[in-house]
Amino acid sequence: MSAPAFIFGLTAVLSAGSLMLRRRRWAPLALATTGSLLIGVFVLTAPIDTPRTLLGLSFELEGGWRILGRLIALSDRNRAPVAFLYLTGALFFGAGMFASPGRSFAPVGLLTLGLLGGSLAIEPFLYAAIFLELAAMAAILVLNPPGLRPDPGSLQLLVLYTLAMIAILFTGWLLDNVGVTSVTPELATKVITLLGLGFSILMFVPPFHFWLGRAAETVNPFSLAFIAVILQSAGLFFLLRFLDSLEWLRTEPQVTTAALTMGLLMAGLGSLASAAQSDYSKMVAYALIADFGVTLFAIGSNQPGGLQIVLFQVGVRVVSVAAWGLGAAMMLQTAADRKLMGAGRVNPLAASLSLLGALGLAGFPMTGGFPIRWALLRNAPLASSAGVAIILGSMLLISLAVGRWAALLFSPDWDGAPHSENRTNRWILIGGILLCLLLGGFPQLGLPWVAPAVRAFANLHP
Amino acid sequence: MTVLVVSVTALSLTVLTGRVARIGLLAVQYAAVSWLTGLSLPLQVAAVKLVAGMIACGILAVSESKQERSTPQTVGREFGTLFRSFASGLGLVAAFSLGQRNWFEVPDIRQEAILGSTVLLTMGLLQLGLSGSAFRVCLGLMTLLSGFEVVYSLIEPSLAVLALIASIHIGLALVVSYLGLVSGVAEDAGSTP
Repeated sequence: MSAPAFIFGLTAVLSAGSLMLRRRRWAPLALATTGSLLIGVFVLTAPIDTPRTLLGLSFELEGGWRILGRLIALSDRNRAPVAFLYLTGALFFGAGMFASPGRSFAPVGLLTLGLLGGSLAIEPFLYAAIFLELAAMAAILVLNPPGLRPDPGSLQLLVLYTLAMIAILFTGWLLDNVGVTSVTPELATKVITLLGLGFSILMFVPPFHFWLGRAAETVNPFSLAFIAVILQSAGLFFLLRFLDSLEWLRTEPQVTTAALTMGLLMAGLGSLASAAQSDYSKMVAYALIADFGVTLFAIGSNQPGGLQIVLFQVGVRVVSVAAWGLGAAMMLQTAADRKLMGAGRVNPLAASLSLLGALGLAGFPMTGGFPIRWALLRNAPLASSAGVAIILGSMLLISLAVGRWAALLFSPDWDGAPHSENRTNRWILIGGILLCLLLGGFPQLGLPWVAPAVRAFANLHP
Repeated sequence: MTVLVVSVTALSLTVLTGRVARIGLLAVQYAAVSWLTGLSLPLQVAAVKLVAGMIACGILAVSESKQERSTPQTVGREFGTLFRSFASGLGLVAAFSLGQRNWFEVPDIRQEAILGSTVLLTMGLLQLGLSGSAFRVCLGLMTLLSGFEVVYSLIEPSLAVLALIASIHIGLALVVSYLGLVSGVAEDAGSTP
């Protein structure tokens, strides 16, 4: 039996199952949570290409699955990232039971995970761009559940991802047909320019970030958090795979300089925009862009241990963004409008969890985002003192913005429903708060994810 | 001749406002694109694009008929017809001048394919730039992708990639139909001046 066929077949079955159960409140999300969790664990632990015996029957799970002449392969080079996506999905589907993200969240969310998993497993890996485009299409259905006015930001996302796909596929042709080994300076510049365009879109680098801000104005924050984090994570894994596979690209000084510059641009502009927002979701959307910028800075800084920092941050971000999204969505359920003034007074735990998640994105001390920035800044070369200043400034600005929103959330101007946090919700919210604090206090808990993920990009970690 | 058909359909898709007419023109455009692709691929393989295009047009037509019955369309802010015609004319001139040489630098490509592809890419981008309505964005993306495919089919004739890109056309039609049917205001979504 082929492992990729089993994984993607099961994803399709689970998606269909949750679609059939969509009129029930909990069942589709419970099915999606269990399914994603099982698939994630299976991807991490399944004995691929190794003969095994079970109940006297011998079997072997093949790592490859050939469709129409192309290979979808599961190997040590992509197991951890694929599992990461499914486990992220499990976390969001589980928390989604309390966030009311809409009926399309579980079935289409599963489909999106399958497509993003496919993007990491397809060979040659350049075709990942097509899977990412298909995933962006599915993301539109998650962002626009039935009955609501379509969100303009999601259309912009679709346009941007189409342009990224075209740029990356054309780059692939340049590399395949003109020759990787005989790269001339002219060709290298062409390739880097096209790749820069493609990955700038996938990594939400300004000015290709605007869809996120537009979407934050109208979309359920929990759905937006899910889509933003899985799309960006898949884009990041794709970038790392590119760098891991092409030696000339990872040793090209232009690439590291571009990553550093874009990272600092994102951290700087993201934090400035975040501090200026009068909408809570938009404030966090821009904080997320600044957080992505720190990731790019870590890639470009070429520090020893930089890859570990990047991968750890990807994991921490999922928890922070899920915490923010869950808290914000629960507050919105009782609020009269999206301004959320005073929402913390009647939803104190939801507000606290949401603010803690936002602080994690800011890199505030005692949250998961802090150890990453601490490690990055401690090892930063003296030459990049401007970079250090920008990252410190971004931490400060976003923390102040979150502080301002804490004051607004707990202000007495509340005109929504009187009370919402029931006993189950309270326990879930307390669990979320503890998880955020645990990651901040004991960052070494993230190591079980980082170790196998580093092995997936062996060339980037000599 | 095929380039002329592609130019007329792409221009009309940008200028016209009637949705049914534009779906018909899109179908004609898909036929022309399949022909252009057939210059470099076996005709039966190029026919995959035609089939996918026709399915996409079918989906758009069905959703359009359902929307007409259920909800009247709210038309978003758009550029005027005169401006769109002028911009399209300029776009076509630019595309014809650029398409005179092999600017893709793809070897063994026919002049007709370069010109057709350049026209589609230019007009697709123009459609995306001139409107933010979901339906027009969908048509713009389909035109842009068609232009890309004419060249990319020559570079990468793999059946798997052909099928995946064909599924994008169908996916686009499904997404726009979903937005239109579910909310009834898809035409208005994201309207920008």
